[in-house]
Amino acid sequence: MLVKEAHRALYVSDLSHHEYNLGLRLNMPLAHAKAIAPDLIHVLHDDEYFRQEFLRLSLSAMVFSPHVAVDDNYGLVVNITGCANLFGGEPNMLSAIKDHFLQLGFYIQPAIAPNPLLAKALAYCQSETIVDGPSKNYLENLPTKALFIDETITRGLYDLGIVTIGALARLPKKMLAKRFGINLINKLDQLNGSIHLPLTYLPEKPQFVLSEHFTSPIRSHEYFIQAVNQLIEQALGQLNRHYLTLSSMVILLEDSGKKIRSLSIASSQPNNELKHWCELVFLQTQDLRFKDGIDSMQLQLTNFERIKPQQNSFSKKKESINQLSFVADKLKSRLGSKAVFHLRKTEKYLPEHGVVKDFLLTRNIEQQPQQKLPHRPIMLLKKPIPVTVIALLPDNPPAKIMWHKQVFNVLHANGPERIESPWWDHSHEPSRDYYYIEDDRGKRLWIYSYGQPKSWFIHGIFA
Amino acid sequence: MKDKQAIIDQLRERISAIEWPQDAAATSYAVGIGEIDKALKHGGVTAGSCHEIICSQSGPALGFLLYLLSSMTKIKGPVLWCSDNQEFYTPGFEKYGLKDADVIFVETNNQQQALWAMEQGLVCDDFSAVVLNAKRVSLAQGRRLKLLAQKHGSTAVLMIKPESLIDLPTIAKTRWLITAEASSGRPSRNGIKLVGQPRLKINLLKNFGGPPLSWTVEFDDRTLRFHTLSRILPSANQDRPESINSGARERSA
Repeated sequence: MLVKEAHRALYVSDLSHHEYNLGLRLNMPLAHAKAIAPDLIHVLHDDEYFRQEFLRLSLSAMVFSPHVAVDDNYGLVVNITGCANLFGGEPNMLSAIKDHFLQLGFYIQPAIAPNPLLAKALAYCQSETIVDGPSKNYLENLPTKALFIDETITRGLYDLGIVTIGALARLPKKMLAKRFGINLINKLDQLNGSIHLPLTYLPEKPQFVLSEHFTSPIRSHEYFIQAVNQLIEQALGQLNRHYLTLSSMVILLEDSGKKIRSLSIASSQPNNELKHWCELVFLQTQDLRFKDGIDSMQLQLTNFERIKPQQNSFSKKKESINQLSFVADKLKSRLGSKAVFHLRKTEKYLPEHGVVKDFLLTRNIEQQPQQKLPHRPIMLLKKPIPVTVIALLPDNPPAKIMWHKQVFNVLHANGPERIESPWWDHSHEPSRDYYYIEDDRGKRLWIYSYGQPKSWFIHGIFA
Repeated sequence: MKDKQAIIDQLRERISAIEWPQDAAATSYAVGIGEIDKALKHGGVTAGSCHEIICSQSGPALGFLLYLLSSMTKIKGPVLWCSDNQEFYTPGFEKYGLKDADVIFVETNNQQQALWAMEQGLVCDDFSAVVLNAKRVSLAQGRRLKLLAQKHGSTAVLMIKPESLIDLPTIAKTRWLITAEASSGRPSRNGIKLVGQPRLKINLLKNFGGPPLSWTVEFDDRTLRFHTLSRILPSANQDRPESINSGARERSA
């Protein structure tokens, strides 16, 4: 018996057949129920636990079809389009599903219908029905409760003397909508199959979790790596059997102090190479200290995908892309995921926003239409260096640049090129005037002046 | 007499094969400057070895490196670039023929990490070159890199900072010092000349199997290539014949 708290008292929220026969009813106060059957055990209804368990149960239904959805009030929808013939027809499949759950210890009421809502209604009222022919015939005698709508609407319909869906369907829709809201009409249409009921299918991939408990805590890195390798080998074996390839995983380590440490390991290209994964784990953990020893370890495969059928190519090219990404993975796992990148040009004018780091290392990116910019340096200083400048006229390019004790005699100068921050950016930074200059020793610099009176900075270096 | 010569040649070949196993069939990347390629032993920078660029002026050295890398990436895959200084600005790279996707940067915190990253890159033979920006690389470290490069046929390029180390021995097959030279400038209306085509002075300080040389080169914006303006033989080496070692090799080849 399950109980729920409501109105500061405990009420029965769910019971078994046996308990029902004893005279217990739903929504009965617990005290009342205990008076009828004092020996019964009651458990507080834990929504979260139920949801989790139900989800686990639903996932097991994936043996019948990859498309499984969960209803909000513990209904399970399996889309068996094209699957029934694998089980020898719909009646056989129905009994197979029933048996499957019976083995797990659950008695279910299944029904097969052309649309999910009708199947649900039938499962609720006339279990083990298989709709075969126009759905109208089946709807005729279903109670209005099977619509799963607001209690008030069903009661309102009852007051009007309408108890079956058949009777409801014969009424003019316009009037119904006016009186009971559009929701009722929608439900009716969904039941007919004229409106598609949106379903959110459960993610197709099943979860893979492997764990290992150690009899004595692991303290050395060497043993740890050995244990991890074994676990990964098992996991990859499982994945291979399911035709899946791994792209990321999480390792949870619990030490004797019950502290949990998590390592996330990812590969840029899904693969099932044992050596590669072990290497990544090794690199990420080599600086780890196992002071308290590791008691248990859990390996969760978080991201994987189906192995795509691949044509063997004559060239070695495909393989080489793999190798490259392997190296990138290794570097990332030791130096951090933000340490390996391409520097990509952007469309922005402000030089410091001119490049972004591309951590995904996409090779064949579409080249954006490039605007031809005037000279750009090959190095851009993160912090522009303030310098003193002498110019012949206020608006002339600089003639001499002084920085610390160095003097650059400017021989040639291009510019100015005015660069302003975009108008939609409200920073109100004054515009900068950039000059590409060269001194008598061939030093080529990108300098800018800004503000009034002008202050000068070196911002970039040319070849 | 003839037999004797044949035997000696054969022995020489064997010795050189032991000394430089990959040398016999060395692939090389042309630098892309005609005269310089002619002076280099295999017509360019050889794969499977180390090369060193002294970075006394970061701008010119980087410019030359970019130009070198662009000709490498056109033949083989991308470049892995390990550095703790991340002030590179790719919009300027394009001029030297290097695309964004051709360079994978690795940001490291210290030289130890950078060296490790470089080793990882050298093991993978998909990279056309692995570049390291470093303060200095000791002989032992350098040898490690060289052996890896040799084994996997990959190319290591070291960007070494201070000039004071120029005379130290090196494992690199070539050692370059690139300095800037003032351009000739272009006329303009307001009296101050515009900056002309970038000019570099390329000093080949160490040239395995050849004499050290230096050139002045100028970049051409239209062809996007460097071309030599003049060749200067360093006076100290002027009267020195080609090294004995290389002479022997040439005969055996």
